[in-house]
Amino acid sequence: MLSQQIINALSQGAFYALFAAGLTLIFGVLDILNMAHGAVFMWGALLSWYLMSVLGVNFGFALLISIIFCGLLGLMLEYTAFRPLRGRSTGHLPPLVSSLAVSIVLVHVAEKIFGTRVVRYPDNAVPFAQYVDVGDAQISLLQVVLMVTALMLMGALWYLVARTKLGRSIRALQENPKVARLMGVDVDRTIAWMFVIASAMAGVAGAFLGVAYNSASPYMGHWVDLKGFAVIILGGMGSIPGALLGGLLIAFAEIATVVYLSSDYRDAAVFVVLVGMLLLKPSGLLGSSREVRA
Amino acid sequence: MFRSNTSVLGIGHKSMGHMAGAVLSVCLAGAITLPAAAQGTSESITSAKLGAVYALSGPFAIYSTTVKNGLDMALTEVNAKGDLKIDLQLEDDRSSKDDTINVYQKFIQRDNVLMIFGPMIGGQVFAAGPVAQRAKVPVMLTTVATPGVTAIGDYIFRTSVESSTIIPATVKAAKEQLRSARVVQIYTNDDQFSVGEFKAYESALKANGIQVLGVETVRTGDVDFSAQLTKIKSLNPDTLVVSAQGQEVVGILTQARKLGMDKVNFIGGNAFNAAGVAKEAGAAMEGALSATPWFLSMTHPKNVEFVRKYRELYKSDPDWLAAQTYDAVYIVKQALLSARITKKDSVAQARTKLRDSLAAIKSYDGVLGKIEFDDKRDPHVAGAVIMVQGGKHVIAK
Repeated sequence: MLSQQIINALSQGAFYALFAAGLTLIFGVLDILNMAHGAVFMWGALLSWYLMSVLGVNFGFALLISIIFCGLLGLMLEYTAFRPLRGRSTGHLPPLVSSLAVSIVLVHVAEKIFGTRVVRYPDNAVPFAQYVDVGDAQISLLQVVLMVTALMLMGALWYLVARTKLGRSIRALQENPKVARLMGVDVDRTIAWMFVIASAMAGVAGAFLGVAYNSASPYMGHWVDLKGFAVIILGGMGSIPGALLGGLLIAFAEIATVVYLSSDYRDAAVFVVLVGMLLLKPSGLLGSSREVRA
Repeated sequence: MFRSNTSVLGIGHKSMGHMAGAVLSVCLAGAITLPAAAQGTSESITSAKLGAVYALSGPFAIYSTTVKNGLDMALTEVNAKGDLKIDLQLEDDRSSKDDTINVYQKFIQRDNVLMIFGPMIGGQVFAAGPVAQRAKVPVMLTTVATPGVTAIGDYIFRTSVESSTIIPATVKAAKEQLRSARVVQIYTNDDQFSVGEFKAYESALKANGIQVLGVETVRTGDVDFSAQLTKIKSLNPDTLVVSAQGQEVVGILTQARKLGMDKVNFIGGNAFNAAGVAKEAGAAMEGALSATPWFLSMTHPKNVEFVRKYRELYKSDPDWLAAQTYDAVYIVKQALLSARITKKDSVAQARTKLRDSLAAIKSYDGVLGKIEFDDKRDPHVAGAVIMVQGGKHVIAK
C-alpha cells in the first residue's frame, strides 16, 4: 500500500508544483497574489476538454492550444487587472481584489460557454490511460507523463530565470523596479512575459488534471487556488525549486494524514503544515527575504 | 424625485408611498368586503400562485432534468382539468445554499406564493427551510431524502422517501445476494445527506451483524480519491458502501476500479439510483446495488401510465425523482382544492389553510405506489432493491 500512496503523492505533488510555479514567480517578483491563477487553470482544463470531447482533437494538440490560449489569458489579465493599478502606489490589496474580479468573470464566462455541470471525457479520448504494475502498486502512463512534463517545465522555467536575458530582467525587477527601469529593463514587457509564462503553466496543469481525474468544471479552480498559496508559502515565495519542494511536501502531508490519521483531516493537514512553516521559518523552506532564486 | 430615503419633511418618500398604499388598500378592502358581507358568501380561488426552486445549474443539477420533467408533466395535466389553475414560478438556486435562501425570501415576500416546491438537496433545506417555517409558508420537498428535514417544522412536507427507511433493505440484499462480509464505508463528511445515509448504513450493517473494517471520508468537490481508496484496498474488503452525491460517486467508483479494486461490490444510496450517475460511472458501476423508493417497471396502473406518458413526451426514462415530483404536484393540487381557500383570505391565511390541508393527507395512491404519511409528515413506501446491469437499473434478484 505504501508504494501506491507514494505514487499518489508524487502525482498530486506534480500538479501542485506546476500550478504553484507560475504563482510563485508572480508573487515573488511582483508581490502580487494572483487570485485569477485558478481560473486560468480551469480554462486550461475546460478548453482542452472541449477540444478533445466535442471536436475530437487529440490530447497533444488540445494541450498546445490550451497553452497558447492560457498564455493569452495571462496577457489579458495583466492588461486589465494589474497594469492599470501599477502607476499608483496603492499597496497589495487593490491588485488582489482586481484579480479576484477577473477570476469571477472568467468563471462566469466558463459557466455560460461550457455549462455549470462537471463534464467528463469520452473513454477513448484519455491518452496514456494504461496502467502499469509497479510491485503491488499501479501507476498510469498519464501520471508518468505528467510528472516528467512538470519536471521539464519547471526546469525550463528555472533555466529561463537563471540564464536568459528575460530572466535577468525578471531578477532585476525583483530587486528594484525603479532602478531596473533606469538600467534599461523594459518593465512592462518583462511583466507581461511573466504573466504569459505563469498562465501557460497553469493551463498545462489544468489540462492534465482534467484528463487525469476525468472531470472538469468551472469551479475546479477554487480548491487548487488555496492549496497553491499554501504551496508557495511553504516552499518560499519566488523560489521555483521551492514550488516543487512545497508541492511535493503538501501532497505528502495530505496523503500521510489519510494513511496514518484519518481522511477527515486531509485538507486541514495542509494548513497545519502551512501555519507550522510560518511559525518556524516565515520565508519558507527555500525562500530568502527578497530574492528570486533560480 | 428625492434621491435619499428621507425628505425635508422628515418622512421618507418610501414610507409616504407605504402610507398611501396602506390607505388605498384599506379603502379597496372596504369596497370589496362590504358587498361580500352583504351577500354572505366567499368565492373560492380559481388560481394559485406557487413557487418552485431547484438546482438547475451547479453540481446538483445532475438530478434536475428528470425533476423538471416530472414537474412540467404534472402541471400540464392538473391545469388541463380546469378547476384550479396552478401558476408555478420556477427558479434556479445554482446548487447554492445562499441562493436558495434568497429565492425563498423573494417568493415569500415579493411574489406572495402560497407554497414552495424544492430545493434539491438536504443541506439547502436546512439553510432555507427555517425561513419558510418562520414565515409560515408550506414547503413541499420532492427530492430530499436526508433525515431530519421535516423536524424543521410543521410547514415542511415531502414526498421524497428518507434513505434510512429503505437502506436496511439494501443491506439485507447485500448480505443475501452478494454475501457481503468484509465491508468498508466511505462517505462525504460535509454533506448532510451523505452523512445521514452513512449513519443509516452504519446501523443497518450493525443490525445485520456485518463487520465494518474501516471508514474513510471525502469532501464535496474532491476529485482525487486515490489516497482514501488505496487505504481501503489494503483492508481487502469485498464490499464498499458509498454514501455520497452523484459527482463524488462517479469519481470514487471509477477510481476504485482503476486502482485495481476489480472484485469489490459497490452498494450505495439515492445517488446510485440516478440514471445520470449510472451513465457517467459507466462500467465501474456494473453490479452496484441500491434501494429505491420507486422503480421503472413497478406494475401498478398509475405507474405504468406515468412511464408511458413520460417516455412519449421526453423520449427517455423517468427516475424516482421525477416520480416523487409528479406525485407531489398532484398531492398539492388535492390539498389546494380541499383547503377551501377563498378570495377573501389573506396570503397568510391561505398559506395556513394549505398547510393544514396538506397535513390532513395521510395516504395517497400515486406513481410511487401507496404512500403513507406519518405524524412527522414523512412518506413511507414499499420500494425495491435495484442493481446496475449493462448501464441500466434492474430489479436485483
